[in-house]
Amino acid sequence: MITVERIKIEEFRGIRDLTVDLGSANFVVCGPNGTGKSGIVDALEFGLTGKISRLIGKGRGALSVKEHGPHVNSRTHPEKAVVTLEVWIQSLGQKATITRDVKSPKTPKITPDDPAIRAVFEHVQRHPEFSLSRREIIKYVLAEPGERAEEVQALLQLDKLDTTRKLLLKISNAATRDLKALEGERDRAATHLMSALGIAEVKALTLLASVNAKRAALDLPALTKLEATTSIRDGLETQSGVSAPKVPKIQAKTDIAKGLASLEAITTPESEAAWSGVVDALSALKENEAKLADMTRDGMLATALALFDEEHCPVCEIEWKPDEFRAVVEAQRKQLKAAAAERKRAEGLIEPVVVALEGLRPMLRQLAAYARDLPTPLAFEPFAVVAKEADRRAEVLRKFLPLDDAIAALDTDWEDVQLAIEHIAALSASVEALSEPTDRDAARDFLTVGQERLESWRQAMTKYTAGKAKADAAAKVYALYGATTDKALEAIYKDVEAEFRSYYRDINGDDESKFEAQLTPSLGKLGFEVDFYGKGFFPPGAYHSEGHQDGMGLCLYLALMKHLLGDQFTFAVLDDVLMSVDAGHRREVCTLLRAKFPKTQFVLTTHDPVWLNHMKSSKLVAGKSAITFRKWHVDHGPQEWKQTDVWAEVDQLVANNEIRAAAGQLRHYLEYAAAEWCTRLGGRVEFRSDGKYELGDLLPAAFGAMNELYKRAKSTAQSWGDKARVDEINGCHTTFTAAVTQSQSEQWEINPAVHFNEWANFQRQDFEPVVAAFKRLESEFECPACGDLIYVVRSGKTKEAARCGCAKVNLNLKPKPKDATA
Amino acid sequence: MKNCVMDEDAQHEPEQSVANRVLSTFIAAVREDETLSEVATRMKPVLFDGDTVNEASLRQAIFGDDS
Repeated sequence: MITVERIKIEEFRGIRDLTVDLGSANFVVCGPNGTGKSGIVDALEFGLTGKISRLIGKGRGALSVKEHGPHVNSRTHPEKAVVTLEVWIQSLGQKATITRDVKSPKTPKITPDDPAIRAVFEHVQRHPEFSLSRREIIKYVLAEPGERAEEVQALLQLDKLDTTRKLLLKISNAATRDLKALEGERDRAATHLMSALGIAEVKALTLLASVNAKRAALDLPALTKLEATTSIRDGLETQSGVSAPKVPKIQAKTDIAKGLASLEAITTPESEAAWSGVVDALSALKENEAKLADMTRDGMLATALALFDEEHCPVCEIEWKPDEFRAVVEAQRKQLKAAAAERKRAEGLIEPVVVALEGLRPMLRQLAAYARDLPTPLAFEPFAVVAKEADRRAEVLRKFLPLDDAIAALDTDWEDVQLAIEHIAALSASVEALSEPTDRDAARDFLTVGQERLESWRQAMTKYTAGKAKADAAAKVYALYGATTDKALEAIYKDVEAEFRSYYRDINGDDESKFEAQLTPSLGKLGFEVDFYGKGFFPPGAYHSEGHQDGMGLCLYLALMKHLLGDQFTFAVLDDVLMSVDAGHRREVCTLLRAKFPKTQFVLTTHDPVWLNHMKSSKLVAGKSAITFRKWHVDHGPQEWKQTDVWAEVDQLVANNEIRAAAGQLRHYLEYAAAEWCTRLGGRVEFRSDGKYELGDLLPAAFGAMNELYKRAKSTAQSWGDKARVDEINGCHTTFTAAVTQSQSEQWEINPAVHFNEWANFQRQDFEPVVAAFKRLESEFECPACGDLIYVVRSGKTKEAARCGCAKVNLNLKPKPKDATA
Repeated sequence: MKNCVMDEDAQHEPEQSVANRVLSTFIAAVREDETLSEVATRMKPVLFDGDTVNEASLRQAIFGDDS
């Protein structure tokens, strides 16, 4: 994967033209809401993936990247909306650039355009999860188990596993269904064969005994074994005058008798009573037919119970009392189970009927063939019509539903059967009229018909064997898939669980050092319960505060990303992800990101400057690795707190005699700057619960902190006997005091609201000295060489030194120990 | 059943997704079954080539060419 060196954004979202140097290091984008932070997040996502998740997904139907990706002023020119990212590719040890415009988001320009670099960008594109917003983080924590499983599986890109599982099950079920049909065909072919050969079972010895008796009558040698290609007619073709008649009299008489018996069997009073009993059973089920229609609904209800959050139905979101919800769902499950038992009983009653109907088809088709092949043919339709109808009825009954169709298929008032029975009499008479075969003719007919049916049986057996092999293979593959993937997923989630637990303990070690969590995958769901101070396991949203939940979401995300990408987790955007983490745990979050993910570049956004300072002071981000937006304008985009820009802006406003605007700008900037000075120097401000510190709170605190530094630095120099250093510091202190005096800020401490508000009423000549005074004052907080703000170095709570980035400013605050020699 | 062993070839692929790592253990398990070793060979490209799994290809992999 990559880290981002620089991003250039043109005419994109709320940004007109902005270049940010991230330097492949952790970076913070800070600013009040509405100042353009999200524009950078969107640009990073778009540059790397061609998509903007803020514009797609649920509830964003009318939005699109094409139409709403460009800045509003360039909405008809998507080609002008361009994001260019300069990245460092660690694995290749080289830089590369990707440029993407909104008009052609799928065809970025990559430089240098070689396959290895293109492959890296394609890999990044496949992992849009590098960008995480707060609204996304919560879905891992507070989602229902099924939804969470989907979200986590989507993040881990495991959806392919579920798709494969469903396909394998579908294939296995289809193979099993096919096998059942093949089994029926095999059994009917066996029955037909046994009928022709006059045997009770299809076994080689039995079959050969029957066949050899007839072969002996024809002076044919006995067959000693029955193999797959053995013909029981073997040798018959060489005998003269042995062409088989189209209707073998003896076999035909047997078949006619069996056909008649089968037809009569379905018209006997007993049979009609049995069919009528099935009709009654089916009619009794009609009341609950809807429940019979979808037995899988029981699975859905079981899932609903598992997903129930003790307040809302997981399907329709209607509020329920827990007991009532469970009672209703359990009652429905009970009804479904009863219906399932009833259906099974009814299907048991139907089975003999279906078997009888399916058995009619081959027999009646054989009778139809005899009728057609007689020397004086008879009508074959009476048999064919019943065979076709028997087939249809069997199919309807196997389907079971709709019940009305099944009941209709059991109608015993079946006129065609009677006509077929009557037609059998004519067929029987015609067959009887055929000349009586000699023993040799009968033996020949026996072997000819027997061979035909043996072939049919062999074909049916071959199909069945192949079908069984397929069904077995499909079932075995599915079972293996379930066993291996369940085990592998369980192992994955155990790993993620362990990482998650460890991260969360790191953040909350002060009061939850023994925190435990359980990620439990089961049937497409992912249960997530967390320990609450040793009082048991509960859903994350049950007792933990919102801040803790945010922390959990981040920890789970990090654990998942680490598992997903391993060492390639080199880049992540955390968009306002930790806004509700309490101040007491922010430092730990920073430490976690820095210590556990040293190779990952985090781009973080926050509207809270205090958070920014936490990130800086904990060294998650370097002092310069941040951009702070102060405002946003529709025609100009976000504007940074850049000194040069601000002073130029103020000077311009003063030159235009727009003093009110200049005063507002100066005050706003000084609030930002004074907060920075206090942060760097440890200025003490009277606590405000709303955190809204005003200039009158901040400036005196910053001055106080700087005064204190100079005093301590002088005292320290004196303790070391370094008079020259004392004089040097005295000089600096005097200059600082003069700058403060010139700005008259000290006086404003008395009533800051009045004095700062008075600026707005100043004239140009009154306000110019104010601006000059504060420019000078600001310079007193900076190193004259590198321009960095002076900051305090601490050891625990002890201030040890005050320095700048280049070390030109270096005030020792650690006095000489009393027992040390000079 | 050694069902947590990854498919040998798959172990050498550096950028395996989590899903493919899981599928590798499955292929290894199929390969271990003597009656299914050919299925494993046919199924591997079906599962690993591309982001989606096609039913017809999967069926062909399980049942062979005559499916």
